[in-house]
Amino acid sequence: MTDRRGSLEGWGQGERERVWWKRGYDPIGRHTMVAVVLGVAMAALIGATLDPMNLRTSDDLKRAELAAYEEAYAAVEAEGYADGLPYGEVQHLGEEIVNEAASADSAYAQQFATGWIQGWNDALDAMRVAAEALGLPASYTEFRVLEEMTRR
Amino acid sequence: MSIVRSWWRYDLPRQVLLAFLVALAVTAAIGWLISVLDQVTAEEIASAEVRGTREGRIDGYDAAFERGRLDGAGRAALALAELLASGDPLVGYQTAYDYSWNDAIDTALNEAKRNKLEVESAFESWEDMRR
Repeated sequence: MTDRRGSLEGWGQGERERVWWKRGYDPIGRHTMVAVVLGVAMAALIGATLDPMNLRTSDDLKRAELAAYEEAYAAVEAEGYADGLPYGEVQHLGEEIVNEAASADSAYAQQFATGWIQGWNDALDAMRVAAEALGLPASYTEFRVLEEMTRR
Repeated sequence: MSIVRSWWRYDLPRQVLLAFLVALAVTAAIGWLISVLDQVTAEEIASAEVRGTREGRIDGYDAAFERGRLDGAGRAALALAELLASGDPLVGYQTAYDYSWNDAIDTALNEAKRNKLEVESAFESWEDMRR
């Protein structure tokens, strides 16, 4: 018959004198549990601080892309706003003065409307001249597009 | 009994070492799996950054431009009456001329780029003409 009471006494008399790396009997399990937690915690700490493997996964791809996106987004905001402000001003003036014909008797409005028309038409002419100077054939898209754009 | 002797008696150092080695082995195995299945190269990271930068520039510029455009329209609405009454006509002419000039170039470029099939193009020279 097995003497089970003996197994609850911890280290047996026979194992007490063994060298430490040959011991292995823990009848309660609590110390084993503490040892496992400590060992795993040490490994985790070393891994987290030293990062010896330094693996890069698809998550790093997304993070790198997002970081670059945010940085570039912030870098051009001032430039975009500075370009948009005068554009919006003139666009609104054009809608009011040219499209809505506000105060047609105003000298400012008359000159504005003249510039509005001449700028557009002159640009069409200049683009045609530039395309011709490059020697592009008359069937090219550039000429078709210019043909389709109505003059003011 | 001191706590150190208690640890020693219950074999703590050996089991900590074993658990540490097992944890290292498990970590290495997982790392190996990741390196086989999911690892990305430095070149892929670099191209992701380039892609993010390009899209960030486009989106950031467009969003800020639109904000500026709306603010500019509001500012023009406030200044319209004064401009019509006492604005410099020459300034008005030049402002409208430049705007329409650029508008025509942008419109033509957008339309042509959408439909372009030929290799040669006048796009670069058109873009250089913007004021």
